[in-house]
Amino acid sequence: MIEKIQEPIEVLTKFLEGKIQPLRFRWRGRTFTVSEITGNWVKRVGEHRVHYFSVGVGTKDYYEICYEARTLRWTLENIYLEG
Amino acid sequence: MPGDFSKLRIAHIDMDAFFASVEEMVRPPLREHPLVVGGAEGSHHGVVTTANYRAREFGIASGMPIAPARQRCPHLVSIPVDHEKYLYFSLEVLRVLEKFTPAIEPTSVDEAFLELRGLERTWPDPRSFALCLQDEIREKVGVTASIGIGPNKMIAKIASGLNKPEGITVLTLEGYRRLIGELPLRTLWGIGPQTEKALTRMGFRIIRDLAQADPSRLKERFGILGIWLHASARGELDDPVIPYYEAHAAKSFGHEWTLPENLRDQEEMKRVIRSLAARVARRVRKKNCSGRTVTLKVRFPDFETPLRSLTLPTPIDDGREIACAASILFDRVPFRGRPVRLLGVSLSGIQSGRPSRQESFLEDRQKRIRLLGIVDRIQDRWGDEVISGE
Repeated sequence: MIEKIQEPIEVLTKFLEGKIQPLRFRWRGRTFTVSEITGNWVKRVGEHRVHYFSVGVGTKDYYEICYEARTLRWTLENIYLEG
Repeated sequence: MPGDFSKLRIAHIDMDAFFASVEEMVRPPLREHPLVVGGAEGSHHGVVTTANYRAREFGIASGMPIAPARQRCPHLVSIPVDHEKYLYFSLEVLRVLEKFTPAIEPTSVDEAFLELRGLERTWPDPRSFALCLQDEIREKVGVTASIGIGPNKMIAKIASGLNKPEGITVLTLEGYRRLIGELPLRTLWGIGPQTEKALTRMGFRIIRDLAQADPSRLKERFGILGIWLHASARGELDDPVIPYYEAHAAKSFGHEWTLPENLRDQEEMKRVIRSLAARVARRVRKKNCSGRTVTLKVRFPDFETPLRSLTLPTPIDDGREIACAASILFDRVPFRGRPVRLLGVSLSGIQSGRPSRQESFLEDRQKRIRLLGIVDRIQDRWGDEVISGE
């Protein structure tokens, strides 16, 4: 099932050659290491771009996080909880 | 020989359960579940826009309300629709297609036609081309496509649906003609429930019945569209692939209407289409010209705007015929339970002069032309609202 979260998170991010790569994030005091990025897409809010990532953390759960280029903030949008 | 570029000039790319595939790609454990995209998570409201292949095993299909879908499959997973995400990945697929050819006509977020002419210089045969294209889409975007290859758009489209998911089907004209003995009328692109009902009343059951029919009988019942239906059933249509960057450049007469509120009632939509078709026809006749290609434009609240076109064997200038062609196109629009915010009808492939009188051999048709002439004169004098010829 998908649980809507929409909470700000801290993300250790690699910005390299125009690409954004989330490596690790902290949410509600817990740290998650990104083991895989299963999808990356972009949405537009007016003239601004929001970069979405679906990331795995070594479990069967997947986290959808997004980076808003205008505010330089990361948000945990939702979690897909398996089972 | 089958697989020869000279006879197989069109490929139809049909993404497999596209919305569901995108969701499975970003959340891989979903692949193990029967999944639909539509409605809200855990909700019984809304409509299925796409079902993955596991869900289809339970008889769940696009357009079905979520509640009966859950009754069929209590452990069904539903994911809310995220059109912007699907559009992003659709454009990624388009980028892959562009590496192979610029002649691409996307017909919706998950389907496109490709012109194959000229590719024989790079590829030994259409199947090798399709295999490579399929691999590239899977590798670069992460979703799968089925590909149909045929001598024209309609046959290529039928071919892509024959072997899903991840199929490649090459269907020659001869192969198509062998197959039509088994295919129901509905398989023809553009035959919706109403046209099917009218054809069934005339005694047609399968495509072969239509292909073997007397074209004048079809013309009597459906006008110029009867000729189109006959040619379509015989696999003889030759609509060109219109690349998306040329779609708006062609000279055309069109009308569109942003509806005062989103419209769900399809009968009401058809009334709007008839009215738009009448306006287009009137402008075309006023300029003393006619056109062969009718295009229907539909815009959904998420701004997805599919265009559907149909090229007729001869030019037309009659609103009733334009509306009739638009109603065939209406059945090709992927509504997926969505309401509509804009409708548009246009006529292109414009040539000067009215349609040939030789096409007007039927007495009724000649009467109709006289009637339209009188209606036009009345409207010229008293305005469009006082009388309608449609």
